[in-house]
Amino acid sequence: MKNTLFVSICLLCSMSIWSQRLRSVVNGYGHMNYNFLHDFEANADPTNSSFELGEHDLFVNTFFNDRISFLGEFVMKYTKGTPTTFSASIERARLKFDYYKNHSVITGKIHTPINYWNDVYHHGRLFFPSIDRPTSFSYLIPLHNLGVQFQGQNLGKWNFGYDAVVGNGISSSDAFDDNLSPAITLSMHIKPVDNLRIGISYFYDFLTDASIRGAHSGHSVAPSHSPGEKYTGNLHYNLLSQSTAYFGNKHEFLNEFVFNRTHTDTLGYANNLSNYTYYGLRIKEKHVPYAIVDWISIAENDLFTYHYDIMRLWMGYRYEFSEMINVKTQFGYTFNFLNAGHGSVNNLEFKVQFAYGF
Amino acid sequence: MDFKRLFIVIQLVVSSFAYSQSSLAGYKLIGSSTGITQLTEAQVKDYFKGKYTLWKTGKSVKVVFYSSQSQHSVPLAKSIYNTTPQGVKKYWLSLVFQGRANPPTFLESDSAIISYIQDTPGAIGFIQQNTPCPSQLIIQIK
Repeated sequence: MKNTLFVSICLLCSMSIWSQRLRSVVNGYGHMNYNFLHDFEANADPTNSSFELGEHDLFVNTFFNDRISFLGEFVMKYTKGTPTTFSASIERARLKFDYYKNHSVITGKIHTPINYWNDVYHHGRLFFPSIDRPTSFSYLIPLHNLGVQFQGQNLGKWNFGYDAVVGNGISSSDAFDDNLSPAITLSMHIKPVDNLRIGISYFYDFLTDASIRGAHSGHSVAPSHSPGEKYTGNLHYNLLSQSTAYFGNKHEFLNEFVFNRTHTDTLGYANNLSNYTYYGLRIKEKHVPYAIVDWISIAENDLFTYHYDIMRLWMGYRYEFSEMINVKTQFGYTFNFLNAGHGSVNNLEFKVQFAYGF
Repeated sequence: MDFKRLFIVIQLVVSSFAYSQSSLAGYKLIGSSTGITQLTEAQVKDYFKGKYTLWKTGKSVKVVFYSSQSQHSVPLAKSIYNTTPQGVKKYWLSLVFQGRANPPTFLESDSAIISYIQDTPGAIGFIQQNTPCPSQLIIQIK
């Protein structure tokens, strides 16, 4: 009897879902770059210039019914060393259930709601105010998470929002985690007036082997971490992030502050800092000149990212042909104060990027 | 005329001026299966900015807006979003990309909007004030 009842309920549920129209919306996003770089420390061939075919992103939204939806983001990008020199990846695949008013529960692979940039832009270069992500994305920010997320948004007159995530950590893959301890993310923000969002977040993960970089720690663009032999012991990874973003009709401002503290039994606590500041001024409807100061400082005793001090200064210009295509140009200098085996050095760069969506 | 009367007259003039300045004045709001019959102007703007996920009926909020080909998209975009019709599209693209809102539907004519709303429980949109439509769809703006 119990089994019959269960089967009947299942049948009724599926009928109620499938009797409603399935609605899917598909978008595509992509970008192309031109890069010029002069390396002041290279003895031979200090200059190079190249055209780059960037990420191409298929973005799918499907609505099974009024409360259950699917969001997927599938990216093709250049990847050195693969047979076709391109690789495909599932950047997001999540099921969302809106269970009460503006509260939802989400499961799947998500962008960790760790700061404004990762939550709002991530792969959408059409929406980026500048060409590149903050430097901290290549080193400190746990970009993805695979697990369960509880989300609330636009609550009360301050438009309060929260996200709580329990999932696979930095060293995990999309199918496997190397220990029992899940990564935890707690994030909250307010939007007191239109176009302004102020947020704070905390992330914690425990790594059994700090040398393992899983599917969620970064992208292939991250400069190499090669300080010789890597630390393979346990590591506690704490990250505190604060974001202030204002994108009005005239002024655009974004500040991303990151404080990262790692702990190992070998060298104790290591304190790492990063800050990214962007300011843009819309001088005409489609024209936005902007400036960026982006720096990161990794402590000498850090055994995850390793000792590193770098600052990047950029001046740029964005022209928006329409809401679906823009071009950005940037000119900047990278000051590399210390390099413990990291890829970047002191260099001068000029970049152009076309970013589009359809 | 004492100060009290003068004050009332000024209040009336200011409020009538404010009403005539509202770009929503030439339009009426319609929706289906929303479970509500009236909203304030501030609430209307919140719904059109994707701030609410579900109606009281349990239906998801589905925004319908004039496409940029329609002349009506310009005053409504200005009034609700304080931007252009292109800015409205960009606003929604970004919100949907974040995974924080359901994508809206953009339609060109009043007849298309009425037809879509009749067929889509939870949909909400504007049509011109003088366009006839079933009375049960109308949501009053306070």
